[in-house]
Amino acid sequence: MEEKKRAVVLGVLIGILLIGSLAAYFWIQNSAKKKEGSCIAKIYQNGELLEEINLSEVEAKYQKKFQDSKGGYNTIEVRNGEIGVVSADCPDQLCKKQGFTSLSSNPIVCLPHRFSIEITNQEGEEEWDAVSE
Amino acid sequence: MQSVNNSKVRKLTQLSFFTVIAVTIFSIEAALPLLSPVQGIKLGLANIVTLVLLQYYTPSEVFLVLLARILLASLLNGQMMTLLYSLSGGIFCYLIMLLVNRLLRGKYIYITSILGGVFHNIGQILMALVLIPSGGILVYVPLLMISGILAGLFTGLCAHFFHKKMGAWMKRLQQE
Repeated sequence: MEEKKRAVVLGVLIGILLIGSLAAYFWIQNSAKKKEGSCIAKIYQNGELLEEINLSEVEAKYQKKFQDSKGGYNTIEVRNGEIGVVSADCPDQLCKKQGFTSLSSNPIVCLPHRFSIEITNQEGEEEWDAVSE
Repeated sequence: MQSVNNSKVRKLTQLSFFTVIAVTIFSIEAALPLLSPVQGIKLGLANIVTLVLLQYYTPSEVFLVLLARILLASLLNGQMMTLLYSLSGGIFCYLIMLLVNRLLRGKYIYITSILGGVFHNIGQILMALVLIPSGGILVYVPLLMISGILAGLFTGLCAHFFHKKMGAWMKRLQQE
């Protein structure tokens, strides 16, 4: 009977985790879509920021190849407002399958190559009128 | 003397048998088309073996099978990266399942399994943070939690039914 009580407690905890995760998931998806303004893509490899691209200022689409220390590569394509991996030599090809992104809620990650692209959205022009000190 | 050696050999053979099963299940699952482009969303069917073994063998024996399975499966299926992630996820999963199984005295295996799935993914996220130190990975946490819960539930039910149907067989295997 003692086990049953513990099982119920654990069950409740799991339930809370589930509901919390669902809520968090939808919140993330939602809050990423609302933002307007410029879209900055940050490209990381091995924890280092390699490049920052302002996707909103991209006019013509272009591709760029990134190589890691072991010769593995990820080729990205940069378009206006979007960025994605178009080819890579990683075994799982998950980075390619993630398609193009323009949202901070959907980064592109290639775990085998320790390569990731993150999006941060900056608000459109919003100057403070005055700052009091 | 003879009988002690025999039982050690017998035990080793049994554990090897389960290791092979686990590696096979893992490899088959790895070969199937992916459920989602997100890394880490999977059923984790090999965990069924770990779950079942927890009911019949000592913690160290179960851990041995787990380690052997991770090493072999990573050698067969992937590279260094796979090994690190599997190891991290597997150890976290194992530790929590050991704890919960003890708390629940071997009952409600699906609860043990669900928590195992959740902690497996936590382990993988932590390893991802170590290897790719950018906060971007964290957006996947909610999805991985949900996936861990659902996968854990499924594998837990599988283990539960196995335990029901094959429980007697397992006991006989042990006592022979």
